[in-house]
Amino acid sequence: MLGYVAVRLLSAIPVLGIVAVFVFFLLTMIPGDPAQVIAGDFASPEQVQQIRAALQLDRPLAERFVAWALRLASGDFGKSLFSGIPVAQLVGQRIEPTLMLATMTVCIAVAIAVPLGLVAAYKPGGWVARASMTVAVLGFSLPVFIVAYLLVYPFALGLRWFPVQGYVPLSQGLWACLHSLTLPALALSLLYIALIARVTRAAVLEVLREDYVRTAHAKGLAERRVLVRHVLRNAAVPVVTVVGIGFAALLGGVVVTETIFSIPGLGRLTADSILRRDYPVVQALILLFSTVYVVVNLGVDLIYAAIDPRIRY
Amino acid sequence: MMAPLLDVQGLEISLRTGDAARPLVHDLSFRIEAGEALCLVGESGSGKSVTALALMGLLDPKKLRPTAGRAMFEGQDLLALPPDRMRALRGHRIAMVFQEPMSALNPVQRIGDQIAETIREHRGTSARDAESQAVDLLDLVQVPDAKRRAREYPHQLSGGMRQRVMIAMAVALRPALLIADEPTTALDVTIQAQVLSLIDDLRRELGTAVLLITHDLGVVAEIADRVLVLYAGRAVEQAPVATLFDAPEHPYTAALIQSIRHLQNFAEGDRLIEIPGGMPAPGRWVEGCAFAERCAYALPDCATRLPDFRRRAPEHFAACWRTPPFGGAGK
Ligand SMILES: Nc1ncnc2c1ncn2[C@@H]1O[C@H](COP(=O)(O)OP(=O)(O)OP(=O)(O)O)[C@@H](O)[C@H]1O
Ligand SMILES: [Mg+2]
Repeated sequence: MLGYVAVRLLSAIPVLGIVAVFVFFLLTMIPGDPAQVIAGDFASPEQVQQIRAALQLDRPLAERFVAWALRLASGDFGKSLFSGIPVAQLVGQRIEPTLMLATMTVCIAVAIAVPLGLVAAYKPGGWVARASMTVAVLGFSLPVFIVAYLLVYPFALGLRWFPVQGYVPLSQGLWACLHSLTLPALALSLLYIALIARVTRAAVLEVLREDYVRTAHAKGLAERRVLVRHVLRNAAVPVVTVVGIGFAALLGGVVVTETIFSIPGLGRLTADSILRRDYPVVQALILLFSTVYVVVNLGVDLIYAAIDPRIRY
Repeated sequence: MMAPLLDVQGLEISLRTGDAARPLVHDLSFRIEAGEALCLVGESGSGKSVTALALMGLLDPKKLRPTAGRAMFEGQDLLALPPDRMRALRGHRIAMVFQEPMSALNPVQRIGDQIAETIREHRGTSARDAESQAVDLLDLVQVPDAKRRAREYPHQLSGGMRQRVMIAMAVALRPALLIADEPTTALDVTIQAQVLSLIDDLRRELGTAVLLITHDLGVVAEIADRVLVLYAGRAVEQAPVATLFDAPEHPYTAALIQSIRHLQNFAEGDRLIEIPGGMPAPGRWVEGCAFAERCAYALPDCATRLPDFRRRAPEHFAACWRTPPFGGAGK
C-alpha cells in the first residue's frame, strides 16, 4: 500500500512536469510583445521595459525556460508583477480560506445528499424521493449567486445569525471560522447536494437488486442495518468519485462565491491575476491546481481500496 | 398428534400485472414435520422459488404476493405476520440458503462478520462472543482453518466454501426450518455432493427440518424423506421418497424418473428436461391439467377438467385422472 502511494506520487511528477511546460509557454503564446500586452494599453515605455526585465524577455527562450525550471524546482515561483510580493506567499495566504470553504461545503453536501439519495432509491415515489428531485432541479438550475442572496437576506440581513460577508481565519478559532463560512458553504453546497444525491440514488438502486441484499433480509436484519451496512457501503464507490471530483473542483476556487461573500480565497486570486495579466501568479496557480487534482485522485483511489476489499494495489 | 412444524394450506401466489393479479402458484398444500427433509421438485418456472420466498416473507411486494392460503409455522401464519414479527423469525427460526453463493454474500464484509451479524441481530450477543461463535460455526460447516477464514472476504473463497459460509449463517441460531433453494446447482459436481451431505449431516445433528428445492432427482434420492412434485404452479404428486421412485402415481413424475433411468443409473447432475415439449408459461395455463398437452396418457377432457390432488395411499397424493402403470415416457 505504501509502495503504491509512493509510485503514484512519483508518477505524478512527469504529469506535473508537462503542466509546468505548458504553463511556461502560456506566456510565449501571447501574440505580439508579451511585455506590452501584460503592461496594458496605458503603460509608459518604462513600465513595459520593467516587465520585460522582470520576465527576462530579452533572453533566448531556451535559456529562459531552463532558468525558470531551475527556480521552480527550488520552490521559487517568482514575484507578482502587480504587487511585487513573492508568488508563493501570495498564493499561500489564499489557501486556507479556500480549503476551509471547500471542506465545509463537501461535508454539508455529503451529510444531506447521501441520506436523501438513499431514501429516494429505497422508497421511490415517496415524499423524500420527490423532495430530492426538486432539490436536484433547483441545484442544477439556480445560479449560485441567486442562492447566495436567497440565504443572505433572511439569515444575515434579517435574523443576523451569520455575517453578510467576510472570512474569519482559523487562527481566531475553528468555530468562528466555520460560522463565517456557513452561508457561502450552504450556497455552494446546493449544486453538490443535487449531484451527490443523484449519484447516490442511482448507485443504491443498482445495489438494491443484488442477491446479497436479499440475503441480508433473509438474516432478519433490521431495515436500517441492511441499508447502511449492506447497501450503502456497496454503493459508495461512485459516490466517493463525485465527492472527490467535487472537492478538487472546489479547491480550484469558486470565484463567484468568494466574491459575493468577500472571502480572500484562491478563486478570487485567480480571477484578479488573470484580469491583471499577472502571469507568474497565474502560472503558480495552475501548477497548484494540477497538484491538488493529482493528490485528490490518489486519495479517492485509496478510499476505494478501503471500501472494497476486492480492490488491491 | 403434534401439529407439523410447517403446515401450508391452499397457498396461492400472484403476480401483479397492471390491475390484474395472475396466479403463479395455485392452491398449494404441504406440511413439514420437525426434523424432516421435504424435497420440492419441478422444472424451471414451476414456482419453487416463489413458494420458498413467500414462506420467508421475501417476495417483492410490488410484484408478487400471497393471495390466498395459510402457512402455519410454530403456531403463527407466516403469510399474515406483521413485517417486524416476520423479521424476528427470519434467520432465527426459519433460515434460507440461496442458489448463487457467488453473489449471495456481501462482497465488502468479512465472512465472520456476516455470520456474527445474524447472531447479534437476534440474540444481542456482544461483538466478541458473536465473533467466536462465527468461528465455531465455520468449523461446524467444515471450513478449514476457520479462524483465519473468518477474517477473509467472500472473493477469497471458492464457490463451495462460500456456500458453506451461507449454510453456517443459516444454521447460526439453530433454526427449526432450513430452506435451501438449489443450494448446489451453481457448484462443481464434486463439491455438490459434499455440500449436500453437509446439509444432511446438519439436519441430523441439529434437528433442523429442511425444505430442499432441486432439479436433481439424484439429490432427492439422497436426502429427501418426502417429495413434492410441482408442475406449472400446482402440486402434482407428493409421496415418501421410496414410494415416489417405486410407484409414481402421476405420469409427469413417472416420466421424470424414467428420463433419468435412461441415463445410466443416476449419473451426477441429472436434469429434468428430457420430457418432450415444455411447461406452459404462466400466462397460458389451461383450465385443466397443465401437463395434459405433454402427457402420453392424457384423456380428451384432461385439458379442461382439473384433477383433484387426491390421496392414493396413506402418505401418497397425486393429481391425475388416470392410474398407473405409466410405462412409457411422454409423447
Ligand atoms: N419477480 C418476478 N416477477 C415476475 N415474474 C416472476 C418473478 N419471479 C418469478 N416469476 C415467475 O414465476 C414463475 C415461477 O418462478 P420461480 O422462480 O418460482 O420458478 P422456479 O421453479 O424456482 O424455477 P427455477 O428452477 O428456474 O429456479 C415463473 O414463471 C417466473 O417467470
Ligand atoms: Mg428457482
